[in-house]
Amino acid sequence: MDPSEVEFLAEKEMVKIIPNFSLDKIYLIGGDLGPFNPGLPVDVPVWLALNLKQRQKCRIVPPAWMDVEKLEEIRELERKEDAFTPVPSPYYMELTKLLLNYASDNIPKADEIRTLVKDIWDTRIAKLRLSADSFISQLEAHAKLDNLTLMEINTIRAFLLDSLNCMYKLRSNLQPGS
Amino acid sequence: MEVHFIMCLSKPRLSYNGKECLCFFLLRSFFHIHRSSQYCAESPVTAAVLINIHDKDSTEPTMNTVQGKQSPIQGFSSLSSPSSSKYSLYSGPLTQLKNMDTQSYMPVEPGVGMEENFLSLDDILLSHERLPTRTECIFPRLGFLEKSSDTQDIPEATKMELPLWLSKGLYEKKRRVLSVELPKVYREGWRTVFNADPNVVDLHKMGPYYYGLGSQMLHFDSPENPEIAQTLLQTFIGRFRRTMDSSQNAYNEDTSALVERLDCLEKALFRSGQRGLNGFQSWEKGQASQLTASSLVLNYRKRKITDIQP
Repeated sequence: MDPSEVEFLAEKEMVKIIPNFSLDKIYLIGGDLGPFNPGLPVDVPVWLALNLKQRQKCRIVPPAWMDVEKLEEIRELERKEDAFTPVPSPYYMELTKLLLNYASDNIPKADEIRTLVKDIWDTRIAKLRLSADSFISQLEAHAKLDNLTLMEINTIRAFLLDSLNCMYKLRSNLQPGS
Repeated sequence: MEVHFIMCLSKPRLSYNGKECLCFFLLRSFFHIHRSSQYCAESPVTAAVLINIHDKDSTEPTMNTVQGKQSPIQGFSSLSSPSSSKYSLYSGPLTQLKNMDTQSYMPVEPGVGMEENFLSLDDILLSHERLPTRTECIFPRLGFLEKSSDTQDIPEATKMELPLWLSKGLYEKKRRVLSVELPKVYREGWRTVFNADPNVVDLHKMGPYYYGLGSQMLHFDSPENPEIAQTLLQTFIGRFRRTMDSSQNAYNEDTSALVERLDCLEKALFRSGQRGLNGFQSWEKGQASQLTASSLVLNYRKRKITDIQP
């Protein structure tokens, strides 16, 4: 899977915007998007929010978790725990990248938020590598990891599966005559 | 229908002439063209056999049956001469093909454990490794192979170095023909080194196909087989951490220093780790949504320009 595909899936998440135009309710295949009135917040998918923002038809409201204090708490919790902590959003990395690229003027302290999210990401990836290494070195058959996001799984998927294949090949030598 | 075989031999080191080849090789035909011309081949090198089929009614040779979609040997340049007495030594293009990263070639992976994939280039190159062997019976009239002696036959208990594909083909459980000794990398001395610390060893120097050859050595029924298999597994596990760390953390750097001590299996793992890392980093920088010309198109354009300019 490409990172671009994961980003595409992330764009289905809902985010709050404040439009500056008015439009009746629109009926799409995926669902209805409520009537747009200038100045009143409405929930739309991210793909629509970014499109409207690029056409300067709305203002994006950052999600509740995209806040410096909350992210600092999450980062400290992540560093303390050995297991994976629950994430603020299953697509936090992608949403950070998209919203901060297109709507950074609507988000206060954008740079600090970017740094904090990157710290959280690095910590989680380090934990993921540690658990992959212990998985392989102890020759386990299966492992359970909670609270992983799709993007993290995606970066390690190819490597982990290839190395598990190699392990399988070498382990099949131990039981000959199959 | 005439069938001409163009045979591709193994590395240039083998200086066997035509007579020797016919003594050794039994060819396996890819296509059942004519019942009388069916041979079976033990050598995986015949994966590189190109069959040039002449239809007696048409004047031009057709290579269609070889270049089917499933064939992994599309990359070979066409051998124009259909003469069956000509053969060329082809290890260069094989390794070049293996290293190509463009999408015009779908690689076949090496086989699992003690099996080899017939069409996998990794396995073909692996099977060229030489093993120290000892003959258990006389090979009549093959004395010309043994450069050191001048007898007409190869006597019993001669020590020779034979490639893996030949040793596997000639080895039989009753040991009438050949007995294979372990190369020194798989013996007791080196095994203790690997058990102590697998990370210090330069596996590329120990034979670039350490794991593959080790798995194939298990065919030869040595009494140390379980220990060999266990050592292979433990070495892999010990070196895994370093491979993972170096592949996931080296972005936009020269990786040759990291890769040179790795075995071929580990190199493939390193490459897939690099691909994941590069994909993620380029996405984060925003390059994933930029359109770039495909490498195939760029190469095509380059080739055209050099054709025009003399």
